[in-house]
Amino acid sequence: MSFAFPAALWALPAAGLPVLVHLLSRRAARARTFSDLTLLAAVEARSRPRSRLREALLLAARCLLLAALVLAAAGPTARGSSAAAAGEGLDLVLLLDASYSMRALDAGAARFERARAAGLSILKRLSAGDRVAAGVFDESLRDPLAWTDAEGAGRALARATAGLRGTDAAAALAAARGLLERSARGRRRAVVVLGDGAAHMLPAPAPAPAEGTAVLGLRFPPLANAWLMEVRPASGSSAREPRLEVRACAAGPAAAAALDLWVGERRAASTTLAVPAGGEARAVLALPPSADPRRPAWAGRVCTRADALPDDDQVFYAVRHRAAPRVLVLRCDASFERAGRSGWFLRGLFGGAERSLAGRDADFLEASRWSEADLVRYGTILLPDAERLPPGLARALEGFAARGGGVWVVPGPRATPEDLAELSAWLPARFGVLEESASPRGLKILRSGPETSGWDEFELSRVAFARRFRLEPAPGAAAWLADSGGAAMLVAGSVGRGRAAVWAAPLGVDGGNLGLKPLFVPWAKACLSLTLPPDESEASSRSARVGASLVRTWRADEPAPDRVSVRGPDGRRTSLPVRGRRAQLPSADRPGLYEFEEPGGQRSVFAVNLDSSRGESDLAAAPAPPWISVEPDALEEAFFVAAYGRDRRGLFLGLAALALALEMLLSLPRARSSASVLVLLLSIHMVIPGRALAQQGDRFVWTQLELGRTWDPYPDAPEQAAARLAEVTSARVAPGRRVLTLDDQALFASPFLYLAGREEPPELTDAELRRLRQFFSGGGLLWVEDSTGGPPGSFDRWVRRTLPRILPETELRPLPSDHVLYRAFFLLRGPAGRVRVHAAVEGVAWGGRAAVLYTRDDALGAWAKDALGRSLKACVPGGEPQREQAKRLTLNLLMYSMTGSYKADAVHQSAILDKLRNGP
Amino acid sequence: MRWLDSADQARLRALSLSPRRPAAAPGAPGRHRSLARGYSRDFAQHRPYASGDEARAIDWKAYARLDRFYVREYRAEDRFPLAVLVDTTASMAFSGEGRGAKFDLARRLAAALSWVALEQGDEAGLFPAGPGAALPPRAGSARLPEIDAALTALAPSREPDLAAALESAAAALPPRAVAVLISDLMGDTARILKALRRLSAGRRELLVLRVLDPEERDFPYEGSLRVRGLEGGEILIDAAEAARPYREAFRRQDDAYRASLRRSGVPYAVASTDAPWHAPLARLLE
Repeated sequence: MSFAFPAALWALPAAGLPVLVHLLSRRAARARTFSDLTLLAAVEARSRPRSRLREALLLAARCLLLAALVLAAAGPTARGSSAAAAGEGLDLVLLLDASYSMRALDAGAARFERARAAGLSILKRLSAGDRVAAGVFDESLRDPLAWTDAEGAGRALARATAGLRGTDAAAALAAARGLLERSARGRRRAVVVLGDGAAHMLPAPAPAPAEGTAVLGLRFPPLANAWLMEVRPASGSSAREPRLEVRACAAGPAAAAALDLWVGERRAASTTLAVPAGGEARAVLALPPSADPRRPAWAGRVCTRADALPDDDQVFYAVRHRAAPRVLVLRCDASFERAGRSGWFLRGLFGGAERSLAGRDADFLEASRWSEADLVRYGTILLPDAERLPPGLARALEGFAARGGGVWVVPGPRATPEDLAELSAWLPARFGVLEESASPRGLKILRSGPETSGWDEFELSRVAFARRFRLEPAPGAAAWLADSGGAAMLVAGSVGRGRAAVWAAPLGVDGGNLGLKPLFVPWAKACLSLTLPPDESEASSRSARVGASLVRTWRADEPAPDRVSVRGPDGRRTSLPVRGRRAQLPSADRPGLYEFEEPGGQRSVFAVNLDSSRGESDLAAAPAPPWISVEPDALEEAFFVAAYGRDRRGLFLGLAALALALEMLLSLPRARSSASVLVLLLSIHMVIPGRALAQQGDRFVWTQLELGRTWDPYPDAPEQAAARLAEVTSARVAPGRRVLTLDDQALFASPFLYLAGREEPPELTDAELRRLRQFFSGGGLLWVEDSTGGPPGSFDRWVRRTLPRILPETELRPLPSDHVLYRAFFLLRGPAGRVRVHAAVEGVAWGGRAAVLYTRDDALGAWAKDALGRSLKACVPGGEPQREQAKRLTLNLLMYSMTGSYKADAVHQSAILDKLRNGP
Repeated sequence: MRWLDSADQARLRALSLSPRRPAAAPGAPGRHRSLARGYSRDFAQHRPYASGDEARAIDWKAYARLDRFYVREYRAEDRFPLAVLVDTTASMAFSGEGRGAKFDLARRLAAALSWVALEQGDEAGLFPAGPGAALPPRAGSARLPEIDAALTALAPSREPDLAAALESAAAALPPRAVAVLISDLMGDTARILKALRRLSAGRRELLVLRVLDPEERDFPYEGSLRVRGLEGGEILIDAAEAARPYREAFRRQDDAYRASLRRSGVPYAVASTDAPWHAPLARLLE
């Protein structure tokens, strides 16, 4: 926590002011004399603990209020620990990651776009004195960092596009650090890495940020991603059986990768590969036969379903095999192909137009025409019935072998050692003496190797030779097979750069039975492989990663063109000069197939792929990046908090407001502060009727209805009557009276209700009528009195109109003279009042009693007194006795409201009669 | 007359004071009914003649109608002593803002009551509840100036304890008197009530007239106060906070007096220094 205006903190002791004021005000309490302190002391003693607590709370609230205001005025700021410098101006380095992992789609938008938008949002809020250096990096910074203003940085960010290279944030951070170290002291420094925060961003540990620099980076939710790592020729792939191996990886949950193999624009194969979570799986896909068997090459792509990062879901390949070298068979004998002769067997072996059993194809030519053949095209030259050779052939064969070719010599049925002497001179074995039918049956393996593996299945002992040469192996040559007698049958060795194999016996049936045996095919394969130059059948793949240069070189034995044209994956052609048998495309900047086309129509294809070895496809977040990770949407906020700190003024102002509210609540008079409690109690009171009744206890309360303007003709009379009631009867009477309206719930707490009036009150509403009826059905008595004491007026009309509305089933009638009302307490002869105009009490009989009593002789007027206690109005015509009678009637009415027809009970009759007889 | 001018006297003419319970034995002849039968103009009842009755008491008209001797009986008339008790404890000296002291009001009321009693021929006397000289009840028009002078001489004392003062005053009262206590009844409610019962004990009849200043009832003060009591003590109090509970406590005390006195049949009225005193006096004597 730091303060923008620390000087304001000097005012902090002012927070103690309320305590001082309180102490002074205690001393300054006004003195006052009072008569007696008994009650006051009791009151004070009762409220002392609570008021002390309240006082303490009040003081605390006031002190807190002042302290919070002072602190708020001081401009409190909470800042991150990394941004310690608090100077003028801000130096900000924005590093935008443009590697291909930023092309991953996250919630519908590429991460790159979201990162850029987050960066731009910061730039918008920078002030004029701030400097920004915006750099775009992938494996390195694309351009060196340089200071500019927010606008320039914004343009640089807007220009940037996500590339296809890997990421190295460490290098970019090191550059940022170098730039910031040169910036002026006292400026705020911040670095924001607008990357995806994935683990692959830091192939090397990042340099520690410079002192006082806030480093922030983006964080994205981890995305599951599956990708194709690599495609290469499978082991064992050959020109005849070409196969590709595909490696697929998954980060996140296990994935089922549906692989499609495309050759050119044609889908050649499909398969599904289960990739375990966080691991990799391999699949081998078979390629179709090459269109050109002489130059077997394939180019295309393997793709899987596009997911979070679509760029890594296809891999391009360009694979070629060297064509299997052909075999040239130079026959010497014209009857070579007759049945049983060696040609007959060899035709069967090489298949003619059909598939070759030996795995290689052969051309047949008469030995005498050898010069017509282009020997360079062949891998092996076979002399199946070597006899006397045409001139020059032996020398040509030797030269062929010396340059790397293979020569395989089988003697003819009529050959003699002398015929073959020209060959014996350089072959690995000399043809020695000719032996006929002398050698024992059977064949023996002298050397075991890949050529002779699996020969145990054959019956070697059944092989027999009718005629054979005794071979004399040259030094350095190896004898592979021998007859059962141990004489070498097959000898192989090198001749110059090439190899040669020599078989001891003719192939035809008159030379032996080998051609008839199942062993014949493996034997022929072994002989061919012994004459084949090494590495002849391996595949090669032309591939490069994005951004690398593509180089096509021509071997010395190949004709090199002057120019080649390169067609890129987008279809564009580039013409390249060939210098020193070498053509170079400086940079292949997007993945795909690049085709080098020579003027003669020869093509060679390069596959360019993303560099999957950098782990860009793994979108899992880095566990502990060297920056503060924030979501893109929160970057703006987090950046300004980290750079400038968080403004805490609102917190303190809120605290002050809280203290103020507390202070106001506490300093309200207690009645106000407990107003809410009162409201609560009132609402409870509304729910539980009868509470007033409980409060009232069993005491009689004079309840008067406030209705109309003239509801209270004699304000003091009810108290007089109630006091008299308490005096002369044993009824317990509550002091005072209760005045209520028809809406009042307390209506139902009193069985007695008095309504007086001189003029017409307002008409009752339906709700009020309903309440009155409720009152009656609850046992209430309503005494209505017309206070005019004269002829019937508007009030009388109102009564006669309204009562039938309340109790429609009955009507207002004069009470009979023997009604219990006249005996309820005093024994009365009849109605009485202050005047004697109507001389009748009317009543509404309802439910076995009089629910409403209606008097018109102003009975209550008899009670009214003036300030000196003299009667207010004279009683006419009877004077004071009539007043007494009126008062007695009033008391009877009150008693009737409490006792009902109790006095009408026959049980009391004798006592009443007795009292009537012996009365005073 | 210092405490009762002629205008007041004219207003008081409507009032009369009479004991509720008729005296059992006749005292000095006066205008009040006595339970004893005697000679006066008030007819009480007819009684069958018994030997020994005076012949002039026989109602001859009744004899003419009924052919039996009936004797007319009349109520004896009585004079009673009125003892005006004036509270002289310290709290009576209290006077509210711009109003007279309670004690002055008490003196006016005492003079008025004495006048009412003397005017109807009864005896009147003055008894201070607390220190001060007492005047025993006497009849006659000369008594009023004496009482007026005694009232002038009376002053609120330093005595703090009303209950104790009432107890000692009760001992000094004549046994068969109508006693009117004029007091503010400020102090320990329970003890004062006990003393009041003592006052109304026996054949004495008690009326209580309470004198108050509205400030004692309403406590209309504000702010922080250092309250000093006239009967001793000092309290530091926040007036605004204490006012409400004080008023509540005061109301409860007044209710207690009112209810307790009503139960024991003692008339009770409250006179306030901010209102005319005639009305409470009239209520009291009703």
